Amino acid sequence: MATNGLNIDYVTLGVFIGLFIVFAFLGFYGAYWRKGDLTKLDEWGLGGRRLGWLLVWFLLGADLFTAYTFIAVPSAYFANGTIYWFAVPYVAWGFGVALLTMPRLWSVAKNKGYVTAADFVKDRFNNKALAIAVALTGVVAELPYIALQIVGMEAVLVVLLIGLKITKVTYLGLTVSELALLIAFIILAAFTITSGLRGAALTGVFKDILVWITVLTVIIAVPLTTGGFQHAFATASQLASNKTFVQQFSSDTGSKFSPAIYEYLNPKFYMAYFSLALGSSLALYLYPHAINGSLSANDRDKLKIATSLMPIYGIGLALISLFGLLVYAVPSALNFVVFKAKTGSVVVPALIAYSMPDWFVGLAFLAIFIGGLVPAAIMAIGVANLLTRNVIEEFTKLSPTSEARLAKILSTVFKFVALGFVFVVPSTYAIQLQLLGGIMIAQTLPAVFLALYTDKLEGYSTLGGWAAGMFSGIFLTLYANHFSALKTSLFLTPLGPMYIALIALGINLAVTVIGSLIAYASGWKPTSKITAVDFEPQIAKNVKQK
Amino acid sequence: MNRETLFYIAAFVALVVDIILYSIYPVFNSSVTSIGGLPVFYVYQLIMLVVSSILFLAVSLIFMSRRW
Repeated sequence: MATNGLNIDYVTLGVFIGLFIVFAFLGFYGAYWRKGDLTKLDEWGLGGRRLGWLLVWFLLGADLFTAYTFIAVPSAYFANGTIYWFAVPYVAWGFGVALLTMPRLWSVAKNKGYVTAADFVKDRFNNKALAIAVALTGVVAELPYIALQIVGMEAVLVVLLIGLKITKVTYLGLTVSELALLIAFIILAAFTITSGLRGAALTGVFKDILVWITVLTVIIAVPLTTGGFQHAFATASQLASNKTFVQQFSSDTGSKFSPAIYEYLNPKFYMAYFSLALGSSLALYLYPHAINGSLSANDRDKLKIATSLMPIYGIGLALISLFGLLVYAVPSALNFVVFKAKTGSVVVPALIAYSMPDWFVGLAFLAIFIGGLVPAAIMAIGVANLLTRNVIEEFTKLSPTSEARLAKILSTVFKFVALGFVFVVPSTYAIQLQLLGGIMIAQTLPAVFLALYTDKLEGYSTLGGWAAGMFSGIFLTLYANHFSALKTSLFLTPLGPMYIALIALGINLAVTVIGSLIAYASGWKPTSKITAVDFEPQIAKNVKQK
Repeated sequence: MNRETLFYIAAFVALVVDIILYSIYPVFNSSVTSIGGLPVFYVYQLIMLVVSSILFLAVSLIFMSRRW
């Protein structure tokens, strides 16, 4: 039987459940840690703005070590080869972009009491419609990203259940894997509501400790016991001429690159590699959850230090993605992925389950599982903040208590909406969910990032640019995928395949700038409620002392 | 020019330098085996993650607002 050799038994399950109980306890305990008034939105949503640089580093890292890292990137890298290592420069540049933008947004948010990017946009442009558009883009772009987290949790449970030989039980019409996902989600929803970002920060630390243990152990143990990367490369190129393997591989992954090339980057894909990295890095800190994490720092020097150190965190991501190659050094794991599970999304859990002892598999699986749960919580909080504050409150006034209550309810609703997404997305392409989110969220760049540096952009022109960017981005994505299942985010240009986020952003910027120039020519003058002084750190300190 | 403005200019320059160092593909896109059996393509980009952090951290520490 193909499950032979999977080091999964009831010890694995025991460790998994035991650590999950610790995790759940930490989530609830977060509510009592550095106690604040949790009925107020910025206490619940931003941890009362009192987190130190190490915790901010962990919290930002919790955003980085997600199912994107564990499941989506290794799966895409396994299926398509080196091109998906773009995630490494993406991480480095993403934090460079953050360093340029987040301290500035932090100051103005502190001085003016903003919780979201849309709060800033509303005052900066003196334009409600643009603020609502930015908020709604944040909400919609997070949904596929949350869905990606769920695909990750599902991948772990699939391998766990196959290992325990529980594959055909059904209950209430759900498979065991779906049922387990549902229970995990109910627990997550419960602790997100009671503890908010504090709970997520504490569990984020716990998750990341488990993650680092897993990554460092596997990346040292597997190469040592299996002949290292050289052996993996040799097996991969041998298998490239094995017809049965290649046939099954391409039918599982739908990869256009089979057999995938791992040794180097095909020069044909330089533009694809560059644009995927650049487009993703510009998008990273426009996501509501990333902005939320940054705004929760207690001062901007700490925020700068934490952000600067984030590329080091990226080493973990780079090493995990290499699991997609190391799997070639463990033939039983490779067979499991290609011939049994038939999806690239299980490549990391399969490699761990075939090469590590049972108790360690339990620990590693829990790390990957909560690696989806924690970011899903942080994202759902960000989305709930946005929708309550920047959309609903534009139409009806709420008391602080009902504002916080509504945000909590919405954060739960969003998690379940995203849960629905999972069942309609092919898992090997999970990374496309994040890239689609990136195409949409990148269209808020002129309104958020550029507006941090200039008040010369006119509101309705920026809104027009946003609309042009969203429309072209979504249309090009549909067109590139022949109006069917999402398999690529690249569009063929004369320079080579290019990430659609950048093309759409170009169109967006052109409309924004030309529109603003026309507005100027017809006598428009900036009417921002924010002045240069509001970006000064000194003011922020005075407000803090009060 | 105040210290904050200098910080943002330095951060921008650091980012541009980082983007250039990560985009000189003909220099590091090589399958020649290097540290740990990994090709230069991977090792270069891994080392660049540390270089990026050092670069960004230097900018942050030099232009820290608190010391002003």
